[in-house]
Amino acid sequence: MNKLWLAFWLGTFSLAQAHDTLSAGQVSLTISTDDEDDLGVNQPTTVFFGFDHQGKALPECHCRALLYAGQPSARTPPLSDLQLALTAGRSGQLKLSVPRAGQYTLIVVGRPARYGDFDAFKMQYALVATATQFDPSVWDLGKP
Amino acid sequence: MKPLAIATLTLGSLGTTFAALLSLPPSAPAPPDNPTTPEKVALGRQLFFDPILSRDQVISCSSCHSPQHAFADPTGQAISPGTSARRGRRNAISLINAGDRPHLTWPGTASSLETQAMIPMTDHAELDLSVDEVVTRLKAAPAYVKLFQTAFNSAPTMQNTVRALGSFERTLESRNSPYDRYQAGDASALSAQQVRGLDLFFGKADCFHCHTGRDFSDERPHNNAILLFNLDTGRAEQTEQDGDVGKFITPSLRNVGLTAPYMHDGSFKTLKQVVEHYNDGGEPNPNADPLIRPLGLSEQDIDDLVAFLTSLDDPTIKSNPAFAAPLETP
Repeated sequence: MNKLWLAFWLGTFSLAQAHDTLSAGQVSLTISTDDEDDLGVNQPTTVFFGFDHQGKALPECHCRALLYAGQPSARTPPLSDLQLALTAGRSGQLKLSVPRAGQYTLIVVGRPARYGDFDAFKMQYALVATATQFDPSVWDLGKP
Repeated sequence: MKPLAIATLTLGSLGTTFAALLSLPPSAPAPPDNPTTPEKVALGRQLFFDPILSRDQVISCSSCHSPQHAFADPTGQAISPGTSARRGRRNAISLINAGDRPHLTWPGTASSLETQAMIPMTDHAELDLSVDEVVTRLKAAPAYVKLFQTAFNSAPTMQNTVRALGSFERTLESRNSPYDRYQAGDASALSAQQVRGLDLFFGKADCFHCHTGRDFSDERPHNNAILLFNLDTGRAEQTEQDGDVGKFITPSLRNVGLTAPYMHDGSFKTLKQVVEHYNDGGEPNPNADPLIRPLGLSEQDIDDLVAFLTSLDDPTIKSNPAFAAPLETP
């Protein structure tokens, strides 16, 4: 039962943080997903990235998106480590899939292909995965 | 006959050590319970080069810490082979000036040379002997019984074994590189390229934030972002703090041109690879030091930095008789 409440609260929290804009130095980033800013469990969710560099497009960037279960830790590898290709220096998208409900952290890092175009950045974004179908990690049927 | 000559003749195999000690810079400060004496140094030197301290009696301390490589790994391998060719986890670090350093080993788990000496001797992947086995072997060797008697006025013990090793290692000092001569006023000691590299080191490349002080180390742990995550947790082994995962004490840069490969895991074969790593900004490890970022160094800058780094090499280490294996084995 407690896990049901947890899933409820985590889901509520994720709806409240829709389309957050992050910033680091000269770069700002808006992140959203195609699922009310949740991640789907065992099904790909598209995550959209919108970049802004002082009102203009981001110059050519070596951008990466790393998805961690829970908080990022230097002890464990990320679940996903993906290159993030941008269209016109403004937008990009990735499909992410996670194995179970819970909290996840997306780290977006970028460095300029040409030194000096912008300062290397690192941004962190919290995501929540909620079960949309039978997921034994949430529906703990084995206990009263 | 002068007293020194008498001592040299009297002590036989200790003669080379005595003579060489005269040309050494002042030794690193010794702990109060282990003041440095020539007898301890001579014994420590014997032990350092003797495979008697390894289970298979094939390797010695010097197998991984060779004077020809500033007392770092002589094989060029990322991880030196230990007893029965077993592999540990970390690159053999240079012992030059180790006596002056407050934190020894890559994660900084030993605070004295005596404590450090215990680690490889009992490590399964290194020399792999128990304390009892060390003592039993040394007591069974009459020459060592005599040397311990001379140095400590006692039979061989583990405590005195590590004290002797520490005393020898404390003499492994070197600050006679072209860079030192340049600092002392000899403008011709560095080439124009090395001077450009020096300016980068203390300027645009920002190396000096961590590689500082007379031995080019801030003696602090850092995660230098060579890996995205760390199976070798480094400093966190001791502190058990997540924030310390993947942190290792900044190594000295002295003689860095002689101590390839580089980093705690020996993953970089050349200095150029090391500089390129830092220039690139490293991996986005959650514990990466914030100072690690793209540096914008040109190819010429990188070559200049590497040239400067080699100016920290002291070529006399290779030929110093006090650092070499003793001619006679007990």
